[in-house]
Amino acid sequence: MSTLLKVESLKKYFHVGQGLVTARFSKSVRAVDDISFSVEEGETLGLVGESGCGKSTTGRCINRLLEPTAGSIHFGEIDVRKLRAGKLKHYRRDVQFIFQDPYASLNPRMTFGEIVAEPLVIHRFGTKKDREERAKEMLKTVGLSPEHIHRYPHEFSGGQRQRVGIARALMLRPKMIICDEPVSALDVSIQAQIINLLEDLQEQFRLTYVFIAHDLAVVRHICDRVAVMYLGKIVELGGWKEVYNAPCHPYTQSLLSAVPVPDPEKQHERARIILRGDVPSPIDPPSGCRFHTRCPIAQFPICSDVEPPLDIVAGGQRAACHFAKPFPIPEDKM
Amino acid sequence: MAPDFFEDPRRRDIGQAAEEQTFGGSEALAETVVAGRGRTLRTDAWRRLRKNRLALAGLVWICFMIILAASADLWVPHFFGAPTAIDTSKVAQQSLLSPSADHPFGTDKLGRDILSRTIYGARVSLIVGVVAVAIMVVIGLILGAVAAYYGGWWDSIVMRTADVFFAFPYILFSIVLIALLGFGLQTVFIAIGVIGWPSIARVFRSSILSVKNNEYVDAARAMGASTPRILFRHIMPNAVAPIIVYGTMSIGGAILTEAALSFLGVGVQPPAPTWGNMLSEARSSLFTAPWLMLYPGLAILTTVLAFVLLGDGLRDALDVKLKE
Repeated sequence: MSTLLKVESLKKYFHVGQGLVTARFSKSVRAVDDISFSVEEGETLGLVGESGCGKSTTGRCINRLLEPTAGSIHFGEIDVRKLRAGKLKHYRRDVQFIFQDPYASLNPRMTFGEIVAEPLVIHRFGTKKDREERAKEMLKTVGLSPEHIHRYPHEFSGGQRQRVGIARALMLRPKMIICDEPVSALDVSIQAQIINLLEDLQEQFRLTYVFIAHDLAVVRHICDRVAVMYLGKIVELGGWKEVYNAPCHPYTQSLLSAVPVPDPEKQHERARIILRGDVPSPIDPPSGCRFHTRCPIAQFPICSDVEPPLDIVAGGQRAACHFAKPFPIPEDKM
Repeated sequence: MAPDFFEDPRRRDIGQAAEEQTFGGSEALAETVVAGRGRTLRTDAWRRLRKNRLALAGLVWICFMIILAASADLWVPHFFGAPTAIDTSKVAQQSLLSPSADHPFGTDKLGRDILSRTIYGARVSLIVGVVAVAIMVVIGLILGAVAAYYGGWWDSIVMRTADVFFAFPYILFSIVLIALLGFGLQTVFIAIGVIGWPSIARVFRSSILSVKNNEYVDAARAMGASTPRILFRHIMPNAVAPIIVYGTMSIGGAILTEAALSFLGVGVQPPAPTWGNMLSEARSSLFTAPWLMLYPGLAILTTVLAFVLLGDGLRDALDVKLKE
């Protein structure tokens, strides 16, 4: 296995406030603040975190839907940030995107056939007939009927629409697909189908996934490695087994404790870590460790003064915490 | 935390396996919620429009007016006399006749048939309405698109200019324009078109802004689509519906403006008949011959109303989200 995607010190700041005068004094939202990770060929990396932690922004920066503020992104040998018009278009052939909301991500004025064939039109593949053939095949691959090419999105359910979104992403035979919460807008029963479909397709097309989600159960199912994000930073990064079995960062621990278990008795008995307060504003993030304002094990002044590096910890994964250790959480904090 | 939570998830549990059997793979087709075949958005819109009686009445009335106006040369002069012909020898006898079998709408001071003049007036009114709106839509679409798509400085310049236009008394403005450009039908088009663009630009701008943030626009960019393709294939088709509605209603407005300008004597010049200048001529004999004002007035009223009703119906019909 070789490294397919390497992201280093990626930053994306959004400026708040417009206008000539105010812009100079305005602060910026640090949506993604200095994160690094890599994705191996053929694996699935999960990006997890609550809303607003910068996971979608990261995905969009990789595909250059957003221009990063700083840092580097390498895709194989390609320096993604240096790509211009033609080469960027070529790069986007290899890195496709699946969007969260199947109701918003399909143009309501185009038929399924047109939507699925559009990547081929943009990249000038084949004749109109070839493209239609390929669109039909792809619809079949994702579990829809080829006859659906003349239908419009508003005639279909969320799960079916998401299949079309997936078909569209596969048309150019990309190497990597960034899945931006592909199932969070769907019913639970449909979620399972789509996840299984994505897994099957990964095998069939040898895909690499960057899988963005806020649902840990979904990530656990599909990911090889997981990166947990909090306020624009990666707080824990490692193989899913390590992260799920022995989470080292208190934030990861609290996230995992919030996942419901199917057995009501166990659910009742089980300890939960409830975080106090809200996520601080990314415009003015806390000093030192960003999690220290809500952390159950924070010690002062070190946690509020020194930013912990993302270091390798006991379990073998990386965690950004001064007191990272596998699970045990003091009784009185539960 | 319960230990079983950390079990190997790859061993799919029973519930999930069952789900796969029911829903997985091509069986997903079972969740189809589809109505009849070959439903395009346009036929859907047409179906919804047909259900709206008022809008349909408006459409019928507009079609009726168009047919009357277009075919006028074939039959109107024959039955009712030419709209501008004045028989100088008979002016005295023909002047200000009240409605009768010969002249269903009566005659004016110069003995011209009012019905004939009203029908010919429809030509001017409809042409002015359509062409003036076409001009304002073209200007409004381009400037609105520029403002919305490029934003920033462009947005400020275009929208502040629009504000200046809004602040102008429009009748005064068009009179000045007509004074500068000279009388004539073209001048009326231009005057009305130039004044009307700001509202179209505003509507289109806000419409684009809301469409631009849709994920399918991002999806197109993520595929590597060019800016023109994104604009014309993804943004425009989804943003023009309000323009169709607003444009339809504006035709009524343009007809009114033309009537107002002609009434003031700066629009289309006599003897060519328009509804506006007919009203203007009727002023002096309002009490002796009320039909002079009644018929062109009714024509304006019904036609403008028809366009507004049609526009209203189109708004409902073109709304993709509004399902019956």
